[in-house]
Amino acid sequence: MRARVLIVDDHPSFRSIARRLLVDGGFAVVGEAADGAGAISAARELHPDVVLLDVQLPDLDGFAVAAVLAAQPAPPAVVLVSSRSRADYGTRVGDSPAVGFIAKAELSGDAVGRLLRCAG
Amino acid sequence: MPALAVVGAALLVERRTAALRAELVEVRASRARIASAADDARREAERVLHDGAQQRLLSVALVLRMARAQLPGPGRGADLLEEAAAELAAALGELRELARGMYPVLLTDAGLGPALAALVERSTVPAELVEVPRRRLSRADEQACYFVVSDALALTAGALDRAPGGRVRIVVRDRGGRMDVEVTARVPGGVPEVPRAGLGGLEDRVAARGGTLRTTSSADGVGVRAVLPCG
Repeated sequence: MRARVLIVDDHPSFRSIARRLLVDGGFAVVGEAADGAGAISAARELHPDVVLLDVQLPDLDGFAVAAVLAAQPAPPAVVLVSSRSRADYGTRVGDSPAVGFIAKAELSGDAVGRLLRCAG
Repeated sequence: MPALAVVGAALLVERRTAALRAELVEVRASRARIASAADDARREAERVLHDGAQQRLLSVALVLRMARAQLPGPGRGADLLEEAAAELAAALGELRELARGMYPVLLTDAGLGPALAALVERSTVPAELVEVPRRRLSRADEQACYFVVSDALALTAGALDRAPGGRVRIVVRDRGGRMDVEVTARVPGGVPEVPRAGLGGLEDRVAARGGTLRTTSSADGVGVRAVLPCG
């Protein structure tokens, strides 16, 4: 069964491209959100397996959203994405409950799949 | 001169001195505001780059990758797409570096300690962050401390270029109403001096905050020591 993904990013063009990349990579994209509040609400409603979550959002940042999602019953696996590099966030990625981080330029179904497999 | 005239002149001098002092206080405050506004402008420029040009170029890079995946195999078209993707990746890397140099996002999101830790990790010379305040400071104070350390690290790293085997040691000590910032390049045998090039900008930055700066030199290294008043 294909993993169900929620895409969270405030740039519509990136959401559209990420959707195509993930569908091509064998994922089922079940929803999109443009900010942190929308992400939390959509995750509660859609119960995705995976949330592809941009770090920089207009309201909450991705780390705060990941913490809220992690506190839910049966939390989704959160994959953080950013156009910045992981090093720009210091230890914040490792300290967050996210399963990992992918630089947006490296995004693909394979990259997400690898992180999910590593997270076990 | 009649006594009355002497008293009048003394009063005039006193009044002018007081006016000059008040003006000096205002000039110093204005200078600090200008320096803080310049740092805010850097932060805004980084955000605009991140939300604008970087996002658009990223989209192009990902579309190029998808277009390449549509082609059955090697060939002229595939070569051109790969060449374009490589050039774009290089441009994105340069843009990211430029944005990072303008303003570190960690400074806003997580504060001085994490931002300086990331700066040390990226340093081109061996460096260690020995002490840093745990508490969050005002944005203006965090910006001032960060860029003083960043500029001083660049200067002392310049000194280490001529003295391999050295290490830069960074201390930002919280003294309540002020921060003592020390960036020292420790080298076995010592290095001659902190390069003058770039020191002027650092002096201006510290003076704009009403602080003091001096260079240090000892048997085992050279450095920069700044005292920055903090709110």
